[in-house]
Amino acid sequence: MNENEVVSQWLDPDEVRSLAEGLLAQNPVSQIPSHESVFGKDFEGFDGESNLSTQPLQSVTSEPANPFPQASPKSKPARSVVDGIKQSVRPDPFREGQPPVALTAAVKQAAPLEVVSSRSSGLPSLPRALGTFSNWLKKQTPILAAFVCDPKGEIVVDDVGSEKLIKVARSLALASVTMGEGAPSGLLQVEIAKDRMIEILPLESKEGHSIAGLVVARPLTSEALATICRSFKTALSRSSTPGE
Amino acid sequence: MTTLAITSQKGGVGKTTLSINLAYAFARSGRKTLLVDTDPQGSVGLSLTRQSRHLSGFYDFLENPVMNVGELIVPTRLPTFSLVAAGRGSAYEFGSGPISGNIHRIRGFVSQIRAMKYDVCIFDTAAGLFGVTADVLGVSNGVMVPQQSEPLGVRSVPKMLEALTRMRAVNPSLQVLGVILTMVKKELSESLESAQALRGLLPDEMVMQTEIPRNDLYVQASARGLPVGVMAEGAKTLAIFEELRLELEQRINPPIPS
Repeated sequence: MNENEVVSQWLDPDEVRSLAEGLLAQNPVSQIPSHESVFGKDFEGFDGESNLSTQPLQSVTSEPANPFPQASPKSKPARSVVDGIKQSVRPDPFREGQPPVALTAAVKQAAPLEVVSSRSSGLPSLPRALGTFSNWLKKQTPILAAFVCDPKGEIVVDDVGSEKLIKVARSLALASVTMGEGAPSGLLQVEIAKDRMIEILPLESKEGHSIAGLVVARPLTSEALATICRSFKTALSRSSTPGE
Repeated sequence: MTTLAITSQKGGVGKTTLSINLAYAFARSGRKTLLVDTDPQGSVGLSLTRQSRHLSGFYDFLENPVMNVGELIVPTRLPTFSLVAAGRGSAYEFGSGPISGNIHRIRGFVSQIRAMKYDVCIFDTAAGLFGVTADVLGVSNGVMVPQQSEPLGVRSVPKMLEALTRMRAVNPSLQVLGVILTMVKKELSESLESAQALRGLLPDEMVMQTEIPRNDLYVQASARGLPVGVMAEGAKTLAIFEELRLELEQRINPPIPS
């Protein structure tokens, strides 16, 4: 009996080879390629700015650049961007291409929300909710990077590192929500590079729409996105509870 | 900077020996190299420094959001070779999810060492591709998988490939640099047959040409707290890891700057 016959008693050589070839076949993405051409000529571009894997997630405390302070989605800049990338926006992106990524069972069941130190600091409810939500997002979801903007356009959390990308994402989300072009849940997705996409989630509160942008390798499942939105609502309700 | 993870589903395959000696080979080539022990057993620290018990390290960094990597780096006598011990933290997670929740902190770790102008960072990981190890793979450029040249090692290959396939979904830029046969014992027919079986099973480009033989010298080096290549009797072994380094450098894309 030769060694191959010995091996085949314990495993399926064809299956193993297929798995191995699959791992070798996929070209590694050593850097994020530019796909700016799909955004149209009005888009200034973010090639070279993106450092998704190099910057730690951090809260932004300085005065943020606010490209669209309470901008009407019908204003020219927002419309031009929206029109320019119309082909790239899919209100329901969860059924195409690679299988979407689900959250772990533990996340789905518990959707845990940490108590952050600012919880009893007397802050208004929305900032507290966004802080709690961001902490949960960082720890419990398989995202590569994220940003969160509050309704005034202030960037609360940013490890995306591309102001222009955040600008586009926020414009899209606002346009989708206000113009009624998005799915009922307001979920959007933009491909930003090969094997990189950004899921854009408008997060509704009485103060207005906050925006979360999640950079992922593959689309999150609709269930996962719903869990994330639910987590924000839970954070919001807890932070609004008197005495907490 | 190139970040490499040395990982395997199975324990006891020689990950730490490989990590230490490969890092030493890179450092000897003039690359500023950092070896990071992400195995909570702390084998790198226990192998190379008698003070490892008292050192803060990788797991302390995960637990302490204000800690800087610079506080953790332990220099060695070779100026281009530094290490970070596993530390005393307890952030090791046994969850089976594809990611443990530490990926952002680990990304911050990598960001800091990149800023320190390291050329190569090698993560020695715990066995099993889950929890913190999965997070490490989530931020690495490449992964190399030591596989012991024994029947049990070959039989565990499917699980290893399945786990790597899952990791590629999380980190599409993760380059599978290859499987390396370890603990090869040429005088034992079962060991040689296992090596041949593995080479027959996997595509040629997935199995490194270099093989790491079973050698008592590793035990002796560990006893003295040294990479094998530092020992007087270690020239032959040093040459093996130098050969491995050169083979790896041909595979790593983008190449490590000289």
